[in-house]
Amino acid sequence: MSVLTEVDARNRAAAGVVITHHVVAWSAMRDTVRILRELRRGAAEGVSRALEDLVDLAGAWLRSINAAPLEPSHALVGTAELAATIRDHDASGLDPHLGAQFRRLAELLDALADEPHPAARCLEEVVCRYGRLDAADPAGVYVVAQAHEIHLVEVWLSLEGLDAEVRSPHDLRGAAVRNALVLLGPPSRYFTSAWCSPGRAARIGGWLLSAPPARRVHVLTWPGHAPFDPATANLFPNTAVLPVCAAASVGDAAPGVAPGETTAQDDAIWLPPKPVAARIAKVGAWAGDRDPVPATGMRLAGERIVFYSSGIEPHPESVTWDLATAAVENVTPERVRVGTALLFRPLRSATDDELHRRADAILATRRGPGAPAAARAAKAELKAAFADAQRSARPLHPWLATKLGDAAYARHILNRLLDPAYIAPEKPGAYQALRTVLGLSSDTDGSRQALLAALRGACRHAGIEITRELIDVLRLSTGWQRELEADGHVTISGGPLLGCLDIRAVTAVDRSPRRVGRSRIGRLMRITGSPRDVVTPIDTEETT
Amino acid sequence: MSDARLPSGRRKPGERLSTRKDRHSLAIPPWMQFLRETSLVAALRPVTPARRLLIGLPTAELATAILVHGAVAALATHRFANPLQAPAPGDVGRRVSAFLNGTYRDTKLEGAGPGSATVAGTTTMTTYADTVRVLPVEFPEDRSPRPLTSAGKVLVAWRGAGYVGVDPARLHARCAATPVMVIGSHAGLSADLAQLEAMWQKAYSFTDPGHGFEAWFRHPTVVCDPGIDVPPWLVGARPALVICDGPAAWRSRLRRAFPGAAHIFVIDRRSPAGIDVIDEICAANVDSEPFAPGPPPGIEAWRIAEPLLEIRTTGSDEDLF
Repeated sequence: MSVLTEVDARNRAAAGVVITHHVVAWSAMRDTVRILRELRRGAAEGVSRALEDLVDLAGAWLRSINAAPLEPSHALVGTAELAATIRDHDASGLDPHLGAQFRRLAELLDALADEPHPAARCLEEVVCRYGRLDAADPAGVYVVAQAHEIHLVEVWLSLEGLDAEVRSPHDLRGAAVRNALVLLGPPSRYFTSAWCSPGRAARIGGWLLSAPPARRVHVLTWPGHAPFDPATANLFPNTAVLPVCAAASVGDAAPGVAPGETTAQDDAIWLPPKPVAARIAKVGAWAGDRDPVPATGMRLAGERIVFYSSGIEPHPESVTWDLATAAVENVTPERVRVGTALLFRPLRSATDDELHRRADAILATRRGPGAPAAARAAKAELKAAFADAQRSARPLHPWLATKLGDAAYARHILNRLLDPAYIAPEKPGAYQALRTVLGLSSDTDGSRQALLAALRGACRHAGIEITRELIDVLRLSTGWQRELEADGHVTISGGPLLGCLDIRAVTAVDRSPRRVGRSRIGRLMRITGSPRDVVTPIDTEETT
Repeated sequence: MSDARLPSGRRKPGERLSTRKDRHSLAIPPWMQFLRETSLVAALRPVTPARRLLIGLPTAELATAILVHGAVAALATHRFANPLQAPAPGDVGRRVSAFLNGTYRDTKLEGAGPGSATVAGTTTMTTYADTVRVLPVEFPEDRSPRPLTSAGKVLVAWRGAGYVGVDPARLHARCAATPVMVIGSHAGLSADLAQLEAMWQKAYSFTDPGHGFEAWFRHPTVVCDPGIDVPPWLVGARPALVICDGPAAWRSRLRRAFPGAAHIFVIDRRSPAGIDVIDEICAANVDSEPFAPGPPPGIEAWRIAEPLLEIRTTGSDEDLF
């Protein structure tokens, strides 16, 4: 099949797509989710650490039961294990004020384990509508599952002897058009994560409705799923909402639930993702942090934090990508929000030898073959004089500050001189003042400074070359987008010489006023110790 | 080019050329027809106020190629008036790009008048005068000439496109004077144009996409990567249409170099980055305008009035080394 034919088929499928919403009523699950919500709300207000773990375990159980219509008693779902853990916690007496809820929850879980998943019958009926004429033909139905949930759906399909292809949303982006696509839950379920809020996830997943690789879309929802809103499938605000056919509800009809409709009551009992911590509570002091500047803190996927300040380099670099290409753009801290992918080049990830080799080659081209050695010697002269001055314990800072008339700049220069990569002050007056303070002869003709400026330019040029090559690697690489969407962070290697790039999704932005040392701006930092010790969830702060 | 080589069937400026009916036109699906019409309208309408046409598609594959093909075909059929870059008497002595004796070359302007231009080493041009473009001051000086041979693929494609009575080289030169700018991947566009040849013969050679700024004034289509550095002279250049192939292109600094041109933003509905861009646009409270012609089912279209943008200079990186 040619590309033109495939693209035409995709456009035709989107133009004529028929969306059917199957509402699966499940009163026991509704009650279960309601208690889980209460417990989680209680956990945020301060309970035992064991209960927090229990709520996390219940969340994982709920995600499993929302992912596939396996019988709740199936070992892969873990209903019995969760009920046993709840009873153990109740018996421990750690949270006695919640005892009634624990007992009710355990009873509901026992009841759930005794009956089949009510969505199973509905899904079976949908899959059976779309068969294949020949064994060599591909399956007529796609069932969408997150990458880590595919095996759950496949187990259920094999148990039922049904024929459907289970694919992750990422794989479906380029999949061939089939007869039907089945969503187990609203599209947002497939994209919600710590770096993607439910609202944004609904917008991102909207393509499963408006641009599906199928002529028909069946959406099955049951208590525990987020509300299904077809309006989120639109890209632009002026687009008409996609029409949705409502199928009869399945399962034990709850009072007030009309066939084929969700109600406010349904919307109220879904379990939204756990709030992401937004406030960065503690920032340890560094020895070099003498110039605090106003900064915006960002928490990143993979337990990292970073601070940026408007107007102070380095600026945040956001990575924008689509299916064919990627681009890197400088943005202001104000434009960074949850979900933005930021690019980092780990310090010195490119070998110094490679940087020097390129810089020397550029310098030799510009200034002649002897220029690299002469420039390195001029740089080494400053470093050696600075080392001597430090050994003699001469007070350099007050003298340099007096000469420059700027104490902060003087401190900055002296701090930077410790860095082997630092060459010399760029401003002519500062360079001459430093030479005087260090006891070096005056560079009257400016030849040394010109040479150092040429070396600085060559180093920048080499650095820009390496950066461009790394970004080219980013553009040409495939597969990192999937890893980024799933894990929130990815490292792309440019080889032993170029180093690597680190891309991380922002999970929270702390815009509360704070001052951070200038040297920490743009530095990727690990959250040390327990996240609770460093980061305070904003919802906790609001309630206390 | 001398007057002796002028084509016999000269036409008045702005007059529409007759075209041979496309034998595949009846087979064009609605989504493809919509893209062609959109690019035609965007490329030919007056440039003020600046328009931004946003198109959301189930898949962005081939979309940019179809838009480019439609825009080049429209520019070949209709004259794109661009007085900003037409040589004026005050430009005498400046470097210009001209199509001389079947070759694109950069040369010196020695005289300019209404509908005529004199460049170094040739007589006064009349018919080809509208292909002479004043090069910006800092434009690269070392471009080698680009010949268009009569038997070459490009002119064969233009001759086969069915523009009756007009020298295909003249049409090509006229389109190259106000090119279609594509911000995206040259390799991707080339591959898509090759796929389109099943629908429109010689689509690649017809649109003749050039890669990078070196192709300016020499190709009807100029393709640049989103991450490319914007040269200072580009601010004075004026394309007929800017097509942004994806969110990365929309966010690129390159796009801001053409605030007065119409922009078409192609968004793949499946791309998460497209959502972010649209949300930012919505948050900016832009003025929305009706989109005509209306999109067919399955395609979303939005027209906005975007404030003129300026290229921001990067800050100093004092004492990084």
